[in-house]
Amino acid sequence: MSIKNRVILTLVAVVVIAFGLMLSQEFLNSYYSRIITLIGIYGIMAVSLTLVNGISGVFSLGHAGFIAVGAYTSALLTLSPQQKEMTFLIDKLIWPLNSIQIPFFWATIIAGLVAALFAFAVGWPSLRLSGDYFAIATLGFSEIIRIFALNLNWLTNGALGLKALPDYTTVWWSWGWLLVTVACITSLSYSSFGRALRAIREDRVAAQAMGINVFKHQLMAFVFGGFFAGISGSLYAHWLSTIDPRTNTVGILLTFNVLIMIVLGGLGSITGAIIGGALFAFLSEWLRFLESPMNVFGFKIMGISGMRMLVFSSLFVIIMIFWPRGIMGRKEFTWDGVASLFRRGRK
Amino acid sequence: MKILKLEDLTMKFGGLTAVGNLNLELEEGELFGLIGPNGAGKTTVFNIVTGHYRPTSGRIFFKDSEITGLIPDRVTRLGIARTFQNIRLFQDLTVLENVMVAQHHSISSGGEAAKWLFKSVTRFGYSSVESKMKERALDFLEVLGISAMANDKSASLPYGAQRLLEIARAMATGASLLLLDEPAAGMNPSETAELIRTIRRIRDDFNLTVLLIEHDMKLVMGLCERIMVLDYGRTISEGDPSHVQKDKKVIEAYLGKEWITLGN
Amino acid sequence: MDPKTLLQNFVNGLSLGSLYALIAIGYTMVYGILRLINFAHGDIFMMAVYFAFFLVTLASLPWYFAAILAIAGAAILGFSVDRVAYKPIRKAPRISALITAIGVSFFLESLAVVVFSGIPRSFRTIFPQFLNEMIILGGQVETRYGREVIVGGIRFPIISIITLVITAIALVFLWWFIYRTKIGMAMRAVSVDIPTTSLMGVNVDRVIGITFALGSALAGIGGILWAIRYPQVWPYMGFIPGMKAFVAAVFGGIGSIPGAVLGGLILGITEIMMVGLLPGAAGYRDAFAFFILIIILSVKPSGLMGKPDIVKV
Repeated sequence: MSIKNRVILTLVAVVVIAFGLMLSQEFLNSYYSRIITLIGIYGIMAVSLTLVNGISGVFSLGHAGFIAVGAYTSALLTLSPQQKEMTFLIDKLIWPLNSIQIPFFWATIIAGLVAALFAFAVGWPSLRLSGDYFAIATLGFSEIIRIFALNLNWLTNGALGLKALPDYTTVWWSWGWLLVTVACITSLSYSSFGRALRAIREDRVAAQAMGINVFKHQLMAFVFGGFFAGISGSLYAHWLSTIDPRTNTVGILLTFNVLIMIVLGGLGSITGAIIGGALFAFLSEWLRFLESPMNVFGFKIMGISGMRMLVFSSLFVIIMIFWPRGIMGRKEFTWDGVASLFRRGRK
Repeated sequence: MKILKLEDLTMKFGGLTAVGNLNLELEEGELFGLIGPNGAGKTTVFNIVTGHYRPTSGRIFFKDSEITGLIPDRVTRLGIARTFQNIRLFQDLTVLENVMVAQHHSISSGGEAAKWLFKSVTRFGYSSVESKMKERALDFLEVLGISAMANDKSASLPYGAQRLLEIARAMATGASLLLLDEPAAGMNPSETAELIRTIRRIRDDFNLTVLLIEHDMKLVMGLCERIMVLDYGRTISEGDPSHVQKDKKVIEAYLGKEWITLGN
Repeated sequence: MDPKTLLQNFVNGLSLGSLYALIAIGYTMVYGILRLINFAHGDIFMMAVYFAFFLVTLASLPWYFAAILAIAGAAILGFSVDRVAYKPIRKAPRISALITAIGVSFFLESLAVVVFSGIPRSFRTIFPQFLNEMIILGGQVETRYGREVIVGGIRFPIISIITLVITAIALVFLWWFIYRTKIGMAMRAVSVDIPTTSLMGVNVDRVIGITFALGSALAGIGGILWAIRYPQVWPYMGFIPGMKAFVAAVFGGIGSIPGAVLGGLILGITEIMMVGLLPGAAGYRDAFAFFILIIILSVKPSGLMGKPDIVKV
């Protein structure tokens, strides 16, 4: 298929999706339209982690740390000085943060950049380590970030966290950024750089023998993924309206959720990451019924809280054992692929 | 100027001396063979030259500058490329992509890397680079005779073609010195004869120097201009094919002392 | 810090460290054999505590019985985790095994939340007699929460003495098991080369299972001792101690049992010392272990007593 046709099809698809989003905001109740927004955010988290864990072939468990950095950075920048005055009860927020307030868009960008900086600081010592150790090191860093967030009262408001964040994240911001993320990471993936990353994933020694500086390439991918993790953090904070250093919000549980998304969707596939993110959001909501009282054959059964996590983790282990490719495996959605489906039908 | 000079190269793994006091000088454009019984240390020499191992002692010079202790990707960027004894292709990539990735270092090294990251993402001024790499890659595939399978996954190639792909990939790095580790392994006699012609051709057309490890004596004797024989990590013979063939020490290494004493 | 406080901190650190050591041994044994970081190890520790808790409160079993059953339960759980989750993917790339281990860890944690509920429980009243029935060594004895032995003004909580003794016994037992029994020899063989060992007629899966069971039993012992000392019981209680024990194992040299013990002791001592010297940094005490981890992995990944890997090309 020619480039021109592919571009046209892609533009058409974007317009169709945008239209669909508009409909969702008009006709769905606010509960469901918020879920649609959340899918966009999850998508960015998943796609950015796919670049690192799927395409580059390293195994990072530190994603939540960068999401947290993005969330806090952006929140600290968008809150008004008055709100900060009111919120910071234990210790006053340091200057100049206590007196500035900038628009959401720029706060998000800065959040991404700060997260990228952290990713550089984490990646630099960690990427020298072999696979298992790298995973633990990133986990360690992610926890260190969370513990610091818990203790630096003059920066993060400690255990109290930041509440009453303005809910700037509309479906347009979240899906808009998702579009940007997918465009950037897809572009990277199909370039020579992406090829090099895949080569490193396939055979690190052979990649070195072909002149590729493995460390540098993995670090660049890691930082790039960290940037988008920060973006997702900013969007997430302004969707939740609150950010705090609990394990469930920005700790290992968040990393694990994103991991579920990309394993479900197919480790190594950008399309898969988005599918995984959407599925996770839907399942999370649909499975809520397990945690609330239910009526079964006329008997009232108390819901069990925490049931959803049990279902997800069981699903995760089962997928890893029996279906590790996930939904897409390493394949991507392509217009050529769609066209071949039609061609087969015609025969 | 010798293109490659190994000076008193020694490699010890704990108590085991894999390579002992090896001295080797390679002229530019030579076809040089490194042979010896299994475990003689031949691949270890390759691993040292390419930077995968750091030698216990000794020095390596490439085009008169020292490269001892440089990391593998640096060595390749300087112009030495290798193939692997146990084929190490990028399985999930296509044949064409394998060869294209070998050219990546020329656009991504040093400070260029970050700039190229942005170019790759924004595609500004990028497509011409990509199409040039593709063209060059196809050329290399044609030289080795495997261009028909360009878009197949490299893992799906027959064994002999995989070995040729390894050579194409090594050439695509832009190297001037090729280290081929058992390029004829698993090939039948006609494929081997074709390989001899191919290696000679690429040496002539691309101004390469070729150092190869082989067990297939037809290839070694038919192709190599000079040969060095290793046994237990040490040089036991060196010279042109006819000299080495007749050298008693070589025969003894391969066939054992009894063969000699039996009056051969 | 005056010498008496220093010594007190040292003693406290030693006892905390021996808890880490008991758990670290399990990590190191599994890694030595399978090159797998068993993320679920800390959660087995947690499960053992819950087993003991409910065996005493619901089944009204006496404490010693409950303890033994809980430890056995931990061993069985460890064995089962290997059988169900790790064995099917033995041949898969190591990254897959690591991801699966994380999944198992979360599975156990969420299982605990569902079955035992997430409300923290107190282990305080579970083993009271345990502490009262101990032999009183010289010096004063003060009755507080736990019985203590005070020698020269330094307090040795009974539980700390018990922990140290049990750790020492465990080490001796392990040494005997690994170097003086056939199964131990099989374990050593499997940790060097699995395919060859299986060709020698050893049932590799059984050996691996026994390794898991043994390591998990030790984690169970460590868990119960931990809960006596820090009586809060909740589903995520295994995460931080598990991570710290892993750091200890890496510090000592992953794959080396004496290394794990040494690493655990040193980690415990330095952690307590850090809190003692910098009381303002107490909130960071968990981060401290992670810092140590990063530093070790960067400077000497093979740890104190480990051997570096040489990759053959």
